[in-house]
Amino acid sequence: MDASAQAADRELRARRMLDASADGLVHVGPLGQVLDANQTMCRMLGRAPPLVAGSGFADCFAEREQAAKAIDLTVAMGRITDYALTLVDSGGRRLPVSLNAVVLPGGEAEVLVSVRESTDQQELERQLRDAIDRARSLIESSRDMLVTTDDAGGITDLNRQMEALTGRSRGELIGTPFAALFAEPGAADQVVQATLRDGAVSDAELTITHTTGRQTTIDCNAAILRDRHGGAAGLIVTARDMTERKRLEQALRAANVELELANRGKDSFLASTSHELRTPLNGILGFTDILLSEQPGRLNDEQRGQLRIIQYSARHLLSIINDLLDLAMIEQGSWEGDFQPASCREVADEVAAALAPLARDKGLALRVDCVDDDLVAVVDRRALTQILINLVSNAIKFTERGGVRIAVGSRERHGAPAATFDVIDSGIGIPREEQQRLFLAFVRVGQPGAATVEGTGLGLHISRRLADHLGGTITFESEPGAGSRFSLELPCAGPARMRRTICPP
Amino acid sequence: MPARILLIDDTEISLQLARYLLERSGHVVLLARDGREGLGVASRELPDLILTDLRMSGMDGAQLCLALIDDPRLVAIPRVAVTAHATAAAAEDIMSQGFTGYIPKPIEVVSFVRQVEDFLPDGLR
Repeated sequence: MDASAQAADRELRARRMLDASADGLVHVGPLGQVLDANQTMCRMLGRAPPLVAGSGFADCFAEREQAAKAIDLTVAMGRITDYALTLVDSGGRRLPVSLNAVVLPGGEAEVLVSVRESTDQQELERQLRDAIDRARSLIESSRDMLVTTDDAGGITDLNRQMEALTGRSRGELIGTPFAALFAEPGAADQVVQATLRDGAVSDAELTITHTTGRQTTIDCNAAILRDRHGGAAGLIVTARDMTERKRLEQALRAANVELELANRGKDSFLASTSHELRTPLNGILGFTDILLSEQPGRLNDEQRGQLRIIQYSARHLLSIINDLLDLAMIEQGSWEGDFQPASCREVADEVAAALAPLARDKGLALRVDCVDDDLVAVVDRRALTQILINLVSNAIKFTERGGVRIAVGSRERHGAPAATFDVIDSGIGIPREEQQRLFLAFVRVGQPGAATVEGTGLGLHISRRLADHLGGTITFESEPGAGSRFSLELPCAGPARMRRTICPP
Repeated sequence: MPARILLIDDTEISLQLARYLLERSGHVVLLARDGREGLGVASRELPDLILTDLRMSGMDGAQLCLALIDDPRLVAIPRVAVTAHATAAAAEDIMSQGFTGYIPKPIEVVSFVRQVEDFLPDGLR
């Protein structure tokens, strides 16, 4: 065999060897063009060899720039290993590959690249690295502090927030005890122990001391980190800076105290003012009554009519002042009941008798229905009377036709007997949109501008507050146009606090 | 038989209203504007009945009541409180201070004179 035949034979052998390789092999020229590729490479690309030669090496990959860079790197460094890229074949399919490359001798910047399909292991490693990177950026992007520890409470990792709060670096802190981060290491250790025991701990308040001495109150949530076998591998602790929140809470508390004081000032002002207002008003009422009694002298019809207007206005003003005084006493907490057993029937009859003239003036029937004349409740009689007067006079006020009924009965409430007083009218009812606001102070129901109904809008509010003090409730049902039913329910034995004082356990 | 009645109140309107009603019924009315003045008038005039407000600046109703009890010449004169705090508990409190009785405020034009006369000795009603 002559020399040229021998050379051809060597080349053929070399060619065979290249083609036999399980890796794709590519000879890349100085301009990044493919000079040659073995069969494996052509198969990986899904193209015939003539189509591969001459094309751009980087064009074979999804990450074109990185592929070009791989070649540059190889030229610069002499070789590269385990360079991860994604090969794209003629059908558009993607194949994760790993590149090894060397510069071919000859100084022409020619490169031999071996392209190996990424094995499962490599791909897993890559995915794992990606997952770790993602987790890391997740941890770092958190506004909260994050710390992980091993099962002995030694710090295994932490984020930048934690570094900022302690003034110490991640490197310094890893391996140190978690509890040592805090001004209260005992309490912090308890958090660790409790988490290991119970699986999680929430809202533990701890204080972190910065290297400069600055202290930060944090709110910790901790959960157990489990290993593959379900055992405790350690903890993950998230913590939030509560300093600002605490400051706000304190400011809020201070504001509340101020408000409370202002409120009390308002109430005692109201109480003393109401008292001062009543005295002259009683003078007006007294002398008006005297003039109307005609003791000082005879009155003509005009004078009598005018005096009645004075009397009516003064009485109205007095009732408003009395309402305000009552409210002030209740709000001030200085309301004290005089709790005595009272006959429910008797109280209802008294109220009906007192308001009978009012009902008669409007041509309305007013009656009391009582199922049990012996029903007795421990109440402050004046408060009960006041509530019923309010409910019944409201009923009369808002009823033009028909009548008002006071139904007295009893029922079980929380396993104890309760007296019930239902005030039922056939009046205009309460518009649905007003029902929510009915018991608020100064709310008056009715069309604006309709001058027929007077009052301060305090009656129901006071009634409900008084009912509270009696241990009871006021509820209502109303059908606009068909009437209303207000129900007062009182525990027969009096309010719970009274029962405690009367019958000690 | 007209009685000599001492009215003590630091509110002029209340004083005048009660005075009018009592004088209308034929009684002789003496006036004082606080406890101290009332005590002076009482020792000088020895009235048949003393009606006093409770809340007054200077000597208040309760202090006056004690001073009246302490004076052997005055202790027999009925002492009646006229008060706005007429709850059962307040009434008990008033009686325990040594008052003979009380009349609720505001005074009722129709019934005031009768309420007052109920406290007068039998011969003076």
